[in-house]
Amino acid sequence: MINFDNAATTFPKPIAVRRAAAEAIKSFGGNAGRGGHELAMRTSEALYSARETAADFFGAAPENTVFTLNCTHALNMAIQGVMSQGGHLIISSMEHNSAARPAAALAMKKQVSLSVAEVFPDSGRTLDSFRRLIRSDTKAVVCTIASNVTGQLLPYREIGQLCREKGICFIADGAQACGIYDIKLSQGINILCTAGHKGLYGITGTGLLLTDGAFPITPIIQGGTGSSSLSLFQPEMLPDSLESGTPNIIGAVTVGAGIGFISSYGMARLRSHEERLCRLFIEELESTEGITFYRDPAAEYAPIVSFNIEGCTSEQAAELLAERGFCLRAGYHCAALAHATIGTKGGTVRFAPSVFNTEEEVRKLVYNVKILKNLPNS
Amino acid sequence: MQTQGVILLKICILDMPSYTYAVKAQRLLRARGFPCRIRRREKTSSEGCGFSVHVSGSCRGAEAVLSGYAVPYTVRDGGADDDKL
Repeated sequence: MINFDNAATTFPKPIAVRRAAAEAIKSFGGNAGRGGHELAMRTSEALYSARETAADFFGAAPENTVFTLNCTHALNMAIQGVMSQGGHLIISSMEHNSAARPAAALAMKKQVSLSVAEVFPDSGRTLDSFRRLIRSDTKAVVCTIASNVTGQLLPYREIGQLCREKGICFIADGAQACGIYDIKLSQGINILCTAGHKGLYGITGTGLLLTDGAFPITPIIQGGTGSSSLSLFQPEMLPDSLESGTPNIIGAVTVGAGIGFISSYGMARLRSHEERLCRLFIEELESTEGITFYRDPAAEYAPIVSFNIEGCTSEQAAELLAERGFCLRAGYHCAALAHATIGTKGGTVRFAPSVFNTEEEVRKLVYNVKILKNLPNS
Repeated sequence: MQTQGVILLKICILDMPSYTYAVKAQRLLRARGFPCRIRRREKTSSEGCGFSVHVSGSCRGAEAVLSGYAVPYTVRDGGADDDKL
């Protein structure tokens, strides 16, 4: 089995992450921040170390670094939390449902007014889309850094700068970019939401919300935090205000280990490897008639390639490839807006390598895609 | 009573708003040569249970470090002087 579905979640995980998970299960069995005994204190230290590692990686303060269940959880907290008093919200037309659905739900309840900024291959035109939609009551802009469907990189720094000039909260979805690009809050991002289990190589059930603290985030979940226990009200202090209930401590430790792996391997080296695999995949197939790649020369892309094979639906192609031992995701990738933007009514097949894939594996995939292309039904 | 092998020190107790801030304070202070450790608050405050950082010596130096990093804390009145660091 060869996994090219790493945009959904990376697999395999680095050895360091697997070891960290085993060590966490063995040694960090207390509840972080909830007791004074040795087991709780040791566990709390481990959670803080992971928090500090993540904070350093993204240029945030440790206390402004919140562990979440996944990127969707982080985006829901950010969008609902910042927009709790209403106002105008702008999202891009390449958003994942993790951003689009909470935004649409708020709009349906008439709690916010919602605009969708059209994304173009040309970054300047995309930036203009956002600029034109800004109103006096615009409170937040939500934008993915890299599309989970095509990998297209959006001009997030420029959008961040625009938001800063207008006093608007910029919420960035880094699910497909973090761990591959050097994303920092200082790049104009007020709130960065990301998954812990994708490019950061942690286990599933992990995500991060990092904030510069400029825009308050009203909690959407209240509960035990280990602090201010006698108060019936949620503490206002981060990270406690956004971390009710026992956190995924083992998961957080693996995120810390995953970031450690990226740092020691080298982010530029990792990115270069994945980009090389994407180039190889495209170069080997672009001369094959009937293969459509959803890439535009005017745009830049993260190491994700969406494609279709003429004569097959995306689901059929992925199923046939799965029968040959390849894991690729087909369909709409939980991103209805993005597919509407690129005009793929039947969805696409997504090729998403990780640092652990090899050129040989890509060549095997290419060979099998060519076979599919020549099947009588295709 | 003198316990053999244990040095009794004047300590400063800083009550922290959360465990995250307690660890942050501990790491900042230790990196600057202040012996300290985190302890569960033995007396609950009006807000409930929590954590304190016990720092060897007077509070002045530790407070300067924490203030420099905007770490919130409250100096405990009459900090115990029999703590073993």
